[in-house]
Amino acid sequence: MPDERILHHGRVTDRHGAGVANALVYVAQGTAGTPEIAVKCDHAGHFRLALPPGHFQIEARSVAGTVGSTEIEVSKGDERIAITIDE
Amino acid sequence: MQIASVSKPVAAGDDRETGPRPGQAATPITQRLLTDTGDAANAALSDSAKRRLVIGKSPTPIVPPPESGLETILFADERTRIVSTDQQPWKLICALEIEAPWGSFVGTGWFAGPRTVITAGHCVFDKKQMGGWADKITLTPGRDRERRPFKSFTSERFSGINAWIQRQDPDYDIAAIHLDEDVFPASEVFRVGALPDAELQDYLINVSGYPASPGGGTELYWAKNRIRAVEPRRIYYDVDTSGGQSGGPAYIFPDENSRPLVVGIHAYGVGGTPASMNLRVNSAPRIIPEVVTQIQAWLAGPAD
Repeated sequence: MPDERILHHGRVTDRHGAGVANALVYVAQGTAGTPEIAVKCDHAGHFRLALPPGHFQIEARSVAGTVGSTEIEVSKGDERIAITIDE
Repeated sequence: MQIASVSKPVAAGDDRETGPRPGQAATPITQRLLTDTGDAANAALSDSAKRRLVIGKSPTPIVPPPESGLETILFADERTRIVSTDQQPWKLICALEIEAPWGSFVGTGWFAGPRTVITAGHCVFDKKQMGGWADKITLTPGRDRERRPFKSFTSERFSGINAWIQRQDPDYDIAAIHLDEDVFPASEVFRVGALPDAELQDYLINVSGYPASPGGGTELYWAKNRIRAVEPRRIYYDVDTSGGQSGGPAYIFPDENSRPLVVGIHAYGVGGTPASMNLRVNSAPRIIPEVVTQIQAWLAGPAD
C-alpha cells in the first residue's frame, strides 16, 4: 500500500489573527487513513500536516483547551490549512 | 515471513531492504505466541481498575455499532479520564512528547519491558510528517496533567520494523523506545501476544492513550468495546480514540487473574478501515508472531 501523504502547511490563529502558540492539531475525521498523532504548533501557530488525498476535518486545541476546526479537500497539491480558535 | 529491526542510526544509515515485500500475501495466524505467560501476582489490579476494565469475551458489542460515517469518535465520546494513573495498568502507559526535524508531536507508548516502551512506528520515524527519525522523545509514565508519579525519561534511541521504516507499511507501524534505566519490574509490564483469529475474535478490548483533545496530551483516557473484526495484519474495534493516542495499547484480559495482554498497537482512526469492510471502526496493527519475536529481541538488548 503506497504512502500517498504529502505535507501541507497551516496556521492556527485566534479571533484577532494572532498565532496560537503550542496548539495541538490533529485529524478529527477523514475519508482516508491517517496516523493518530497530534502535531504541536510553533510559537507563531504554524504547523505542517501530512495528509493523503481525501476530505478531512482538522481540529486544533489551544493550551487553554479551546477547540477550533476546519474542513479541507486534499488532492495532490500543498493545501494551506487555516484554523481559527475562538479565544 | 521475516521482519527485521531497523534502529535509528548513530552514523550512516543502513538502507538494505529485508523482510516482507510489497504485495506479499498475508498468511493467517495459527500460532499462539506470548512474550511471557506470567500471571498477575505482582501486578494486581485495584478494585477501581477492575470495575472499569473489560475482561474476557462477549458475543455482542457493548454499545450499538454505528451504521455509517467517518468519525474517529463513534457516536458520543465514551472515553473516560483516568486519574489513578499510579496504579496498574494505567501507570504503564506513557505520554510522549516527540521532537523531530520538522516539529514537535504528541503520542502514546507503553512498557513491554523494564526499560523498553512500545509505540507506533510513526511516533519515532515518519519521513513525510516528521522529516525522518525523531531527535528526542520525552516519555512520562502515568502522567496526569502536571503530576508525574514516576518522573519523566528522555531517549534518543529508537527501533522500528523495516517494512515501516523503508516504505511506511501501516501494517508494521510499530516501534520501540529504549531507555537507559529500569522503570518497572518485568513482572509488572504489559504482556504482548499473537493470538489466532478464532481466539482473538469477540474479545472485549481496552484502548488507552493520551489524546490531544481532551487533555492536551497530558491526561490519560480509556475506552472499551469488543473486537469487531480481525485481519491477518490488523484488528478493528469500535472504541473512541483521537489524535495523540497513536502508539497506545489495545489490550485484553483473558481472565481476572491475568496480566493485560496487548494484541494491537493503536494507530489509525476510522479512515484507515477499508471501505470493503463496511465498518465504522478504528484499527491497530495486529500483534503477529513475528512482531512478538521482534519485541522480545528489543527487550533482550539495547539498540546500538
